[in-house]
Parts: sequence; structure tokens; C-alpha cells
Amino acid sequence: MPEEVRFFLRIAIFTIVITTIYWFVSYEEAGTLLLGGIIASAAIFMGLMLVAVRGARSGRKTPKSLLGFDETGPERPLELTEDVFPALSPWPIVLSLGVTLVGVGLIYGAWLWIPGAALSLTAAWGWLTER
Amino acid sequence: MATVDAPVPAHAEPRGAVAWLTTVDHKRIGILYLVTAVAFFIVSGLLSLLMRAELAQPGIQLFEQSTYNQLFTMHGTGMMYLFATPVVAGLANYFIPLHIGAPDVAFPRMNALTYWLFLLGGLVVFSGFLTAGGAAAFGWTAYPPLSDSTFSPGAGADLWIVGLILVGTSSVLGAVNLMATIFGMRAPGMTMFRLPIFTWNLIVTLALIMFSFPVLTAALAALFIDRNLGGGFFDPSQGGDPILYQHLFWFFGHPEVYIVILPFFGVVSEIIPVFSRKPLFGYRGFVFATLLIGAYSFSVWAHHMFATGAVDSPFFSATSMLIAVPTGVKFFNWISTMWRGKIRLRTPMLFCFGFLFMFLMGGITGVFLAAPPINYAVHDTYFVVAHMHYVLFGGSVFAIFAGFYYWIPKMSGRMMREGLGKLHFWLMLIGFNMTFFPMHQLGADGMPRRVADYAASGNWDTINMLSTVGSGILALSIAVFVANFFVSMKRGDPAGDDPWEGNSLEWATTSPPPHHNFTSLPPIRSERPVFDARIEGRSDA
Repeated sequence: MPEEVRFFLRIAIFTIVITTIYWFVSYEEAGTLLLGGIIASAAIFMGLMLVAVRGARSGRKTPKSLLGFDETGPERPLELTEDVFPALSPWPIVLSLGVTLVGVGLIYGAWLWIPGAALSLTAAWGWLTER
Repeated sequence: MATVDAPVPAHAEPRGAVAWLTTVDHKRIGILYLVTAVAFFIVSGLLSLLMRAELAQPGIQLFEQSTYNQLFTMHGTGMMYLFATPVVAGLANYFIPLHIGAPDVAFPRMNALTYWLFLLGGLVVFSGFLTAGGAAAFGWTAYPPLSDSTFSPGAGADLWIVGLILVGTSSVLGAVNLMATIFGMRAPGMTMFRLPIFTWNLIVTLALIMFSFPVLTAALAALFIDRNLGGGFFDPSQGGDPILYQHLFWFFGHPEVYIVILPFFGVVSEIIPVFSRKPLFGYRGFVFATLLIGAYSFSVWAHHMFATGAVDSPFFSATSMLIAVPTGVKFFNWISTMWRGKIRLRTPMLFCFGFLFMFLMGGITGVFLAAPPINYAVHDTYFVVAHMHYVLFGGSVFAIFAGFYYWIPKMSGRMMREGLGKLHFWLMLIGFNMTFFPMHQLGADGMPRRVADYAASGNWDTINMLSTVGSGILALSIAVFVANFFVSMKRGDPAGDDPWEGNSLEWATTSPPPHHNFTSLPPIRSERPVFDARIEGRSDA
């Protein structure tokens, strides 16, 4: 089992033990539910890592292979080409401005949602269609 | 040195303000994070100087209690959410791809989004000072009912909530991105147990962020609904429960303490071996101790709630004391690494020594506070303030400066001035201890925290004056660092690629690294690839 999967497995097992002890000594719902959330999250991450590892082994594209690296051995030359680096992009800052305006609009009025939503949607479209 | 050569792409690094605003390069985003976090550190530190000025003497001198409440709230908020956590993001952004031999992070545009959300969220939080009622004034914990709309009306509190939701969202997105980078983009030969120890500490930290920050976001969203939309999550008159908020907050809040200390365990663990000329003692033991600390951190949250009387004290006391065991393992690792090493007392190593002693002090008082009888006695007194600052300033901030002096040559290509660095260290050590050590006595005598005035009885006035003078020395030490930075960036000696004879991959590239990070990589056969290559090169020669 790859270490990436074991990492989340260890978290899940440890938290199951702690949660069981906590429930039987306290019978307190909020904390038990929160600890249960950690177990569920760790299990989800573990599943995702298993899928990712199987995908990588079956030869599908992973971020690693897309960027020119793989694990064929330490002597393999790096294959960096210019197109692996994303270009400058205005959309992250535009999207964050839009989201911030929507958030502040919750306090100062829904009118701020109009520019906030416009910026967010424009940024999302620009981001998705950007090469 | 045996290396793996790569064709160098002709990649021109963009320049100018627009390039910084639209950058998706992990190194630039790391620098943006670091500069912004240090700016929030300075602003939040200035707020604490104002508090210390008020407390220099008994009586009200400068600020009314309501203003003082804003000062300590925004000081804690700035330091915890806008300095200590983002500085981790800054170092992680800059160094994770370099440590694992990758050209960038997994999702570069999302990386940029996390920075801008953090910056704008922080500005929203601090914009509360510009509102009619002032900034949030309920402490960085925002317990209801103090934080509800009856006791904390006004936009300042709402801006605090919305701003922190943005900052929290940024943290979670950043953690997912960096975790994907470590798991998916390691260079050939870089197995998990060859990762630099800093990166291993970050893996655990990123998991803590992914599991804990959503809980804070949920708690803040519920608080916002209670305040503005008639919700009753934490309102007993509507069937809600204010203790539920404390559970949610500390389920985030205690892992948060480890989010802002574990990465700096990693920083110290990178520096001590290099300046002791030895490998880190017990690499795997150190990794598993880190994992254990991370896992335990989710089982100790309610030791912050002993005084409510509504939690299971024996359980939380036991788990809180148990967390000292893996922490002790780390101290054993650090001391054993230095044992019989050829120690070089350069500025980064001095700060590591400062970290070891100061964090140990904070850890010991932490074990005291894990005992419910002591906790009840000193709850909400200056003893807790002293403990917290020994952990978070004595621990994290000393290690942050160790990291700055260690890595700024790599990031800038210039060495920091050694004399000014040592002056910075000694002023900081003296100022820090003068400020916070006397607070143990104040707390043991029962002086409550979060008050602008106090009785002129006993020796409280003398101790407070001592503490205020200490805070001035501490501020002076930070000014020395800032001066050192600007002098060194202008006239510092060239750093070269590997000024410290380091171990990890960032020392295999130029200072500062090129846009694509590496033109060649040494073979990775251990957790010290650059050391291995150096030795191999000497044998060949």
C-alpha cells in the first residue's frame, strides 16, 4: 500500500479509537460527531488516493506526468518545456475580488452582489476558457 | 556532482506590477504571502504595543475599555489568522516544489486565488476599524453571547466574520493544492521517506488545515446567521447552545496551534542538522512523532473549556498530557542531532536555540494547564497569556526568523548581515523574556487578561512596567530585522547556490532559483540528496 494511502489510513484508525473512547466516557454528541467527521474525511481522502494511485499505475495522465515527471528512475532526464508553465492570469485576482464583494454584500446590502457576481462569473468563464 | 541534466526552456520571467498581480509562479506567490504576513505581523504587533502602553501603569491612560477590547481582538486575529498561518503558506509555497524537485505546484492558478482571497479577507477583517462602531471587540475566539448582535452590534463584527470565512476558504484551497503537489509531483527517486523533514511536517499541517478549517468556517457562518438572519444556533432562548460554539471553535482552534507550530518544527529540523554537520537523528521516528502530534491535536480541544464545567475533564486532561510524549521525542531528536556535532553558531542556528528553550518553557506550562485544578485557578489570567506567547512567539516566531535567515539567501541571492542578525536575536530574546516571563507571576497572582485597568496592589504595577519596557525592546529587535533585510538586499554579499552546505534540493539550484526551478537534479537516494552529491563529488575529485 502506498505511503500516501497509509497516511490517511493511520489518521482514520487513530481517530476511530479516540472517538470510541470519547463516546463511552462522555456520551457527548457534538465532539463525537466532529471526530466522526475526521474519520469520514480521512476515509474519503484514502479512497481518492487509492483511485489516483491506480490511475497512475494504469498509465492515465496525472499532474506528475503532465508536468514531465514520472517515477521511471532517478537517472531519467527532466523534460521541461515552456508550455508546462501556465501563463500569467488575471482571473484569480478578479475572482477573489468578486467573491469578496459578494461576502461584503451580505453586510452592506445586496446591491454589492451585482458587481460581485459579474466579476465572479466573468473570472470563472475566463479561467475555464484560458489555455 | 552527478546530476540529471535537462534542457533549459527559454522562459523569460515577466516583470512589473502587472506581472506580480497576475503571477501564478509558486515562488512569487510565496513571496507575496510572506511579505503580506509580515506586514500583518507588524500591524498586529503595533496594536500590542498600544496595549502595553495602556497597561504600563494602573488606571486608564490612553484607551477606554471598549477601544482596548478592539486592540486585543485585532492583535490576536492578526497574529493567529493573518500572520502565523499565512507565513506557513508562504514558506510552503516557495519551498515545497523546490524540496520535491518539481517545477511548480499542482494547480498554479488556484494557488494565486488562495493568496488574493487571503489578502482581501485580511483587509476586510481590519476594515472594521473604519466603521462607526469600530472593529470586532470580542476576542479572537468570538464566543457567543458576547459576539451576538446584542452585545456586539455593528458592522465591525460582521466584517470580522466574513473576512475570516474568506481567509479560511483560502487556507483549505491552499492545503488541497499543496497536498496534491507533494503526493503527485515528486521528482524521480523522491519517495515519501526521502522527503525533507520540513515537507513531512507540512503534510501533517496540511491535513490539519483540511480537517479543521471547514469547522471554523461552519461556526462562523452559523454565528453570522445568528447575528443577521434570526438564527438560533447559539442562542438558548431559541433552543441553541453557546457551548456548541466553543466545541466548534476549539475543534478548529487547538489543531490551529499545531498548524502554526508543526511547520516550524520542520524548519528547525532542516537547520539543526546543517549547522551541526550531522544527519537528523531518528528521521522516521521524527516523522511518526509528527503524525502522532497531528492526530492527538484533534482529541484535546476541550481542555480550553475546562472552566465551563461541561466537558469530560479526565479525558481531555489525559490526552493533553499525552501529547507531550511525541513532542518530547522531537526534543530528543534535536538534541541527539546536535550531540557531538560540529555546531556552527550562525544566526539561523542561534534562533533555533532560542526556539528550543522558549518552546520548552511554553510546553512545560502547557502540561500545567492540562491539569484541571491548575487550569481552573489560572483560567483567563495572565498565566495563560504567558503560556500562549511562549508557545506561539517563543516557538513559532523564533523558528520563523531562523527560517528567514536560513532561506532568504536562497530566495534573494544575498546573504543577510550576520552582525545585525545576532543583534536581532539577542534583543528579541531579552525583550521577549522581559515581556512575557513576568506574566506568569501576574497570572499566578490572579490578574485577569483582557482588561485595560488593574488595581495598584502588590507589585502588579512594577511587573506591568517591566513587561511594557520588554515589549519596547522586542519591537526594537523587529526594527533591526527590517533594517537588516533592506541593507542586505541592497549591499549584502552574494549568497551563491549553497551558502550553508545544505542537504535538500533547493540548494541544488541557483539563488534565487530560475522560473522553472531546476536545470538539473542530483540523483535522489536519501533524504539528503545534495549532501550525497557533494560527498560523491569530493570522492570523484
